[in-house]
Amino acid sequence: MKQLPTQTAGSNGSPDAASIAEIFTDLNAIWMSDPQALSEQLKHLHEAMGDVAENISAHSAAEDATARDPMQKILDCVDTLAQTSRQYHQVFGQWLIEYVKQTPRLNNTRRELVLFWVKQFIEMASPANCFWTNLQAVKKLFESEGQSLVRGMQNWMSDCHHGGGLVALADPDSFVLGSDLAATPGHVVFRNAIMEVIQYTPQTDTVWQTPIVMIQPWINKYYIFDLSARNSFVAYLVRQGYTVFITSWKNPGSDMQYTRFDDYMFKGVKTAIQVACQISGASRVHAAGYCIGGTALAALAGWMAGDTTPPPIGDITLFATLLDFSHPGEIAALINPETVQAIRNLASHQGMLLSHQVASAFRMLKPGDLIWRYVINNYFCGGKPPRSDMLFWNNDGTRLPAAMCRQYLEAFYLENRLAAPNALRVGGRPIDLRRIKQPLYNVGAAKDHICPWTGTFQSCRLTGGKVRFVLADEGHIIGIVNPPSPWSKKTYLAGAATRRTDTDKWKATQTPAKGSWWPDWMAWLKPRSGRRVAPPTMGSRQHPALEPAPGMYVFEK
Amino acid sequence: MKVSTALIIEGLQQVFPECKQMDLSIETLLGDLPEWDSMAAVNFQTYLQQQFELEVPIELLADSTSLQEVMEFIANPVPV
Repeated sequence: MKQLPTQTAGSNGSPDAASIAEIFTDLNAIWMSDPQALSEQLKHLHEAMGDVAENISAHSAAEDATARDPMQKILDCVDTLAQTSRQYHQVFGQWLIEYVKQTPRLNNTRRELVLFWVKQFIEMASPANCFWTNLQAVKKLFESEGQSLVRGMQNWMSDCHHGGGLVALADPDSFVLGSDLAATPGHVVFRNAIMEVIQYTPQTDTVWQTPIVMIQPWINKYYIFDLSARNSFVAYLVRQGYTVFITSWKNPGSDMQYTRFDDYMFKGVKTAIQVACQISGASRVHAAGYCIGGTALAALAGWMAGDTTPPPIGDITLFATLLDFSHPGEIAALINPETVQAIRNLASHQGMLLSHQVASAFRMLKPGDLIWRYVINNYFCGGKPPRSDMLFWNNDGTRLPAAMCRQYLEAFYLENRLAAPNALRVGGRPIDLRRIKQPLYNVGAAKDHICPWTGTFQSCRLTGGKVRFVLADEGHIIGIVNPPSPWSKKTYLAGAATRRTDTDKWKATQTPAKGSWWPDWMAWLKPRSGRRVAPPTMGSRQHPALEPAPGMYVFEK
Repeated sequence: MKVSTALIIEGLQQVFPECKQMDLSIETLLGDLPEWDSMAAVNFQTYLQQQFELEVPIELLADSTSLQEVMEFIANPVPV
């Protein structure tokens, strides 16, 4: 049998349709070189399809003679067709996945890539995603006398015009930033070319001496931690008596094409911590980072460990953050030398990755939830995109600077240099995460497909301080945005972890706790927070309050 | 508010077409649904909010939540 070639990118380096087709041509060539094995595979498919046909034939009902309404007859027909095709689709999809999994002499990286595209194809070919096998869409067509399709067409044209061709996940007019979302009172107290720092207005007579600085990811807007009032993370922390600062990153334009990861570390994270110390008068802060914000925070903490002066970071909290990128989960299928080259070419040509290009990659990890469901609702049924604060935020994407993309994908994802002591050099120093001696509160989410929890657990081994690891239910967003609530059905695990703790053993030996893990974080944080003191002023002489939250950068499209 | 099982199940089948091949009952747990995860929860929350015109807390919609519990919340909605 021949070996599948490693080249998958097109001649211009882009992962175009031709190069994806080439992967499948080569996959089939492997099977064609062993006709007997291929014949066995096809026999399995034939038998499975035969079983479906038999099942359909056994369960087919006699036509209801009372159904005389021609429209109802058509709908019955559509329903039968949908049910039949769904059964065939399910069987064929399962067979196709096994066909790829059993392809001999295919390295795991290549197999994962092929499986990724096969799953995209299976999802796309679902009968629900075809108009005439979607009963709901056909019903709407008849009920609205064709108007649903007219509205669907208008929705599609609007998405082509405004959304870069991506189907809208949420009604863009359903929320107003500053009044419905990102509405916790506060002020922008610092602004530079890369970020604004927001300080929230205290809501208690006294506050803990040590403030919290939240380092947000720049692959979306900051207000995922300040959604509606009842699930705002920052509002919860303010009510707990903390002075809270948060980063709101600039949505990059072409003038930021040379902005690197280092810039986010030094002009962003380091500066935000300095500003918080200067305003609050504290010598150190509780520093908390989410996703790539956590990666930048940990990298900075490792970098600062080389300072002779005491670090201004008292302890570190990481939310769904990877420091070891050796097993980055499903996104690994999109990040290999060829696709990184393609992304580099695209970013270099444009000076940045555009928001819809970034969003496309993440949506392809969950095509059913983040693409096809909305194609059906918005286009086939002509419905309005839904009103949901999380989806509104998800739809409000950002661009990424070309230089940062290149550095992040290569040094972190491909070469995993942050995890190796002294392998990543920034700001004139190598970074060794083992030199981080601050306590670490490390949160992973059990169903996180962007930063798998087993990957986030590796941070317990990489850093040198005491660690409490928390495993939240749910995924990358809802696992973290997890407010205490009388209705909460969530559970979490929490316990100490050391450099030698085995991931599975840790999980097996923890007792599930009910509800949100936020109170557990508070119980960990408060003994480290010093005395209760009078709240600091909003801003200071050095950093005057510039304008009310949510500031300016969050509105940049 | 009177909530029929059929309406909830119809909604689930709209949001998760794969459910049509499952035997759904009020004891079915959300975590048993194919492809159930955080984003699926957001989509189901959106469906319930639009269908019943009330606010449904996302933290109610977890793996261990049964359809019975969803129906009870909708039948006796509490301001969230």
